[in-house]
Amino acid sequence: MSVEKTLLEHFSKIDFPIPDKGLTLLAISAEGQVLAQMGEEKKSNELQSLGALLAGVWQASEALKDFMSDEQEKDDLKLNFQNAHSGYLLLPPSEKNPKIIFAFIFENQTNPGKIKHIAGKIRDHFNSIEILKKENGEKEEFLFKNITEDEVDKLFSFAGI
Amino acid sequence: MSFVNHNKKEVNCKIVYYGPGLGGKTTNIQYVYKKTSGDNKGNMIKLNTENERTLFFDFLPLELGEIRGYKTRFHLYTVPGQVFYEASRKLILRAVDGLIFVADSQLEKMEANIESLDGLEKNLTEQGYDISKIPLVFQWNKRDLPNVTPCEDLEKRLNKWGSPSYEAAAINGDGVFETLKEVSKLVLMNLKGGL
Repeated sequence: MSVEKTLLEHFSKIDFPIPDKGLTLLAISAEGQVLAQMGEEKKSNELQSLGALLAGVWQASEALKDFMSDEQEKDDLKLNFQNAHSGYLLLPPSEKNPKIIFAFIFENQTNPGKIKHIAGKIRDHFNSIEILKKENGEKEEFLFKNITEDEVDKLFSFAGI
Repeated sequence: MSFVNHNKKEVNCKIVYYGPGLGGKTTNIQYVYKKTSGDNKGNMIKLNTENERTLFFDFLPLELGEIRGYKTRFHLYTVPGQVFYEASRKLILRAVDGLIFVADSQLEKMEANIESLDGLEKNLTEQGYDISKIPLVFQWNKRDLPNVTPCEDLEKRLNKWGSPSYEAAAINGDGVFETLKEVSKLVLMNLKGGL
């Protein structure tokens, strides 16, 4: 099963509904790829930018953590950027899924406390299961053998070269 | 690290433009953005200072079409080139699939090129990468200016790995797509099946 399908299946198991307006939940790889989304759908081009920015912000925050001395406090940090109704909330990767960041994007929510409640449930759920595990016979061979110049030329044909 | 989605038949690869400050990294992807049609590109993100120096990174998602049934997406990043942004450069290099080193060909910039390249090698080593095994292309930029180092000298002093290299004047677009095309080919050839 694909990572996206696995994540969506797990999202549906959280016993708190995610509305399809005003709230988007993203699962983002540490490299900035959006693995899955739920709630209000973002367009494909927006998703790529969101993934890069949120992963970048998260990575910078992780680097800032190194300047804190209290080891225990470091592990429990969340990242918020919000006002009373709208904003972003990022959850740190869990031990079981160190390469996945969960991000909430919410707008015009009358009860932002609800977002934190859902975030807590997401965190608890994904603390107990491993999403990105090696499958048996994971493909290690080269995906594209013997790529030709023509094939690469076609990719860049829009640039006239 | 490239992300291959076999169900959706998509590959996503990360290419980083590296090099000394004011060498032409941002100019490269600005040109790519300008020349790419709306269907092939996403929004260009620029996180920079008031005087347009890159502060954290520039980012441009490119959707290039299909290769053997797989949609190919390249995520282009630039790093800030100024010396004191070393911590940010390390972050942007994570999970890189391909590198373009944009060297400033001006005579007086050779030391800056060397310092930047040494930093790249060190940052990659710290993250467990071997620079000789990563798709890497050199761009000898600013060839349009007077008083530039001959390409043979740039090759000798910078290109220790015999990587492909291209002359460029990114401000005019010369060499920009040639460089990008070469690194894209190397990245795709190096791609292994994934998730």
